[in-house]
Amino acid sequence: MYDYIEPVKEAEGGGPGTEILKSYTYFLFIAAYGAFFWFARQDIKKGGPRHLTDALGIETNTWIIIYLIAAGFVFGIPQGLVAGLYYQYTGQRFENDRLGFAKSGGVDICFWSAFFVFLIVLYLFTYVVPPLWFGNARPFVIFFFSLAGSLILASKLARRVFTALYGPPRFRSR
Amino acid sequence: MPVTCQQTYFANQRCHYLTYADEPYCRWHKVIRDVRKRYEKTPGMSQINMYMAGACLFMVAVSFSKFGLNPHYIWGLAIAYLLPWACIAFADGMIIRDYPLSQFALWGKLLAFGLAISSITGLAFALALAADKEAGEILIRGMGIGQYKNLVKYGPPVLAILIALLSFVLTERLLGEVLLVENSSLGCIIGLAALGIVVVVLWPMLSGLVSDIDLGGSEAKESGGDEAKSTLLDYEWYELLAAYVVGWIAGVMVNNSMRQSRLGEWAYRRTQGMSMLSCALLPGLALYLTRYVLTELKAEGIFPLILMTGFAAALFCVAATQWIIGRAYS
Repeated sequence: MYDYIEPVKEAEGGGPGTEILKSYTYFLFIAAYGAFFWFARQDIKKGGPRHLTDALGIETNTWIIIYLIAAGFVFGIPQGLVAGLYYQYTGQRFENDRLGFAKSGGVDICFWSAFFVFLIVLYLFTYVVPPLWFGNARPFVIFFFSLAGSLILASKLARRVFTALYGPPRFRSR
Repeated sequence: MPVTCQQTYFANQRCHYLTYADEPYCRWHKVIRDVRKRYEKTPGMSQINMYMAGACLFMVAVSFSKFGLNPHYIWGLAIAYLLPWACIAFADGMIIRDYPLSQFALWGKLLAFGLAISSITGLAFALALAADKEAGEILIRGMGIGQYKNLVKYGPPVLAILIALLSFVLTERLLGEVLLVENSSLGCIIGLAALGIVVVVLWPMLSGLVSDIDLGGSEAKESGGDEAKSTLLDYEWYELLAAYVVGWIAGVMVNNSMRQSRLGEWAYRRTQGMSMLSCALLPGLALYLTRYVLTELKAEGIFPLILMTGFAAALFCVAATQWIIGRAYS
């Protein structure tokens, strides 16, 4: 026998993609991502300062663009972690409560923490980390640091926001 | 006995601010509720505002990078104007969503901060664009559209007029929605300042036209010289009428849609008279100004006249309707 605890809130449902479309800052994601690519293009165009080449250690423009698009996937990775935390605080699984997850700011926390950490890591690798460090593994090291940083930041932010909304965590992790 | 705000949050928490006047909510939650009521029929504006916030932040980032290349004060003013705009758009977007995180008083404060700062920096920015031709040129060239001569010439004055009028609208919003003041003299002062900037911008054109019409033409005729100065482009009466009608339709559509989305039935009927008057007069003003602008641009033909009159009339009607709506319940 074990004690059954009522979920903190009722599931609000929602199909796949609802969490993104109903998030607080969905259009701001698009604007931010567009602006990021605009600056990247200005950087790598002919006669541009080519800071991205310094940061990533990649010479060709095509590979830089492919890397930046691939790095975009890192923005979605913290979602699994934040969804787990959402269950701890509400008792609702992400799959059953996509709308509630969006309303609690889960998607926004994932995206923005990953986006800011990625920008900070890129900045550090451009101006602070010497260009000869890590050699050809530089793009992968940036990816790893971005991922680790975004997971830590997303976890801290999510705990803070979910505590403000739903009180202390009451459910054991999945 | 002081009463705290009735707004509750999740997890049995509640707002700790005192109530405003006889309202059951504090000032910030009243602001939030008023904004939400204004947009209740257009919930999609939440994401439009988010996109606007993104666009403003993008322009702030561009201004920073341009300031790094060419440290001119106009970039500083652009940042000081656009950053509060981003705050306004972001706060509006958050409030309209009406989700759990939208309930916090923080968004009302962010909105108030944005409105207060941008209404002042907007006037300074508009004045700089109107008075300093070099600054305007640097701004337009910095935006990457310096190859279009007409934009370099007319871009800064048009921007100055738009920003001055927007500052007036923002001040009205600050007074009505955040400070909850009715009939304040501050609105009149900012309105006069905005009007002053518009006159500063238009003055060279207006004074040049006056001399063209009254003195230049007659002097040229008297002296019998061939160097007659440029006069207004000539249009047939039906072309002018068509442009006016298009401007009127554009104005009425803008006016009606704005009032229908933001006002109740009683206020909608109450503002009917002022709306009809503004929709009748403003297309005329738009047509009048458009002829001068097209003459300067040397853009002949009926289509530029109709298009520009319609656009200008719609813009004027947006500003006028905003003003009418602000006074609907007073």
